[in-house]
Amino acid sequence: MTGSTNEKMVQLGCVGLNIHEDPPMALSVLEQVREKGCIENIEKSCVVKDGKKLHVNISITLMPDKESFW
Amino acid sequence: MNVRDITESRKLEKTLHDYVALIDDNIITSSTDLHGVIVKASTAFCRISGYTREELLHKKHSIVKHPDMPKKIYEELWETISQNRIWHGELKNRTKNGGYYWVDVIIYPIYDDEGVKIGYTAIRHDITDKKRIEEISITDGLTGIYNRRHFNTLFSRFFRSAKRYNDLLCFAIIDVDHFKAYNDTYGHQMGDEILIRVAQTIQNSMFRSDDYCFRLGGEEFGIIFKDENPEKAFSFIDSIREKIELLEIEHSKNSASPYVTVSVGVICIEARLIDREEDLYAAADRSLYRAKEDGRNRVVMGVR
Repeated sequence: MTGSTNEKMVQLGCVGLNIHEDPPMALSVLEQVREKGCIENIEKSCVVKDGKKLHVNISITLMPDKESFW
Repeated sequence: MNVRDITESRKLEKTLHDYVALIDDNIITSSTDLHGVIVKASTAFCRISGYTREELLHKKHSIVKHPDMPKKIYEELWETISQNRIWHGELKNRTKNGGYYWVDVIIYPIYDDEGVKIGYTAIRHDITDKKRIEEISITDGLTGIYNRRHFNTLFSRFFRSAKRYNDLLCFAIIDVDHFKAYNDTYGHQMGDEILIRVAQTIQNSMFRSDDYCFRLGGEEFGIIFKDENPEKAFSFIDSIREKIELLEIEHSKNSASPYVTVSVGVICIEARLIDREEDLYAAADRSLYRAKEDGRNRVVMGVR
């Protein structure tokens, strides 16, 4: 979908992926995920490989760990 | 994290959005609830009516209703849409600043997902220019009353309708006395003024919905109407003759009066007794001839 390799994606990280056009909003989304544990149906425009614009619908859920078990 | 590519659906959304914006800007449309209260109004509707969207919302369409439109049309409209049928017709509407526009309207009932009727949507297109052309084509340019062309159309229709119900059909031809002499004495411009004033006097005497007056040509006017009996018809026409004389417009070359007067030939006949429209016209024309022969400024009621 993004045209990037698996390795490249892991290297870039979520925000640094250049997937969001608006990094501050992306950070606030992640902040919400940290607080609530999940977020559903966020629609964002992304710029992926070769400058192609992509619209995505994102839902994020935190994986359970020792500190939080959902 | 679940990431789903929605680029295509976004493209479709944008196409739809652009299309709706185009419709909104160019199509005169509005939606109402079941009571006729406006809940949506397009930009094109706002533009043609002169009202803002805020002024239209929560109001009924009576806000743009023109007083010229007969009540009957709206009764028929509501009867149609109340029965979940589509209404199609032409309406004259009033703008905010008192002007008017004509629209061709289609009104559809609208339903919710359960199939319950929730209101109506009206889609209109502006036919003001068409109506103006129609109006011009049937109006006499000088006097503003119906012209000969419209007389020919309406006379046939009136004749057929009267025959169907065997009405007492009445037709009068009105001729301005010594009009040529008036023009020669006072000039053509004054002559035109006379024609305008005579036409206005006749027009202002048309009180019933079935009274029609026309300029038949030159200084000749026609009236078609229905009446209860020839006596009433005579007095109706004679009152018009009298009103014209009472305008007291000087006419020194008139043998019948010091003022502008008219001679009138009128025929009243049960529609079933006459076969052809031409016969009615010829009979009225013969009466007019007699009115002139008998000294002008009079009404002569003819027989067939």
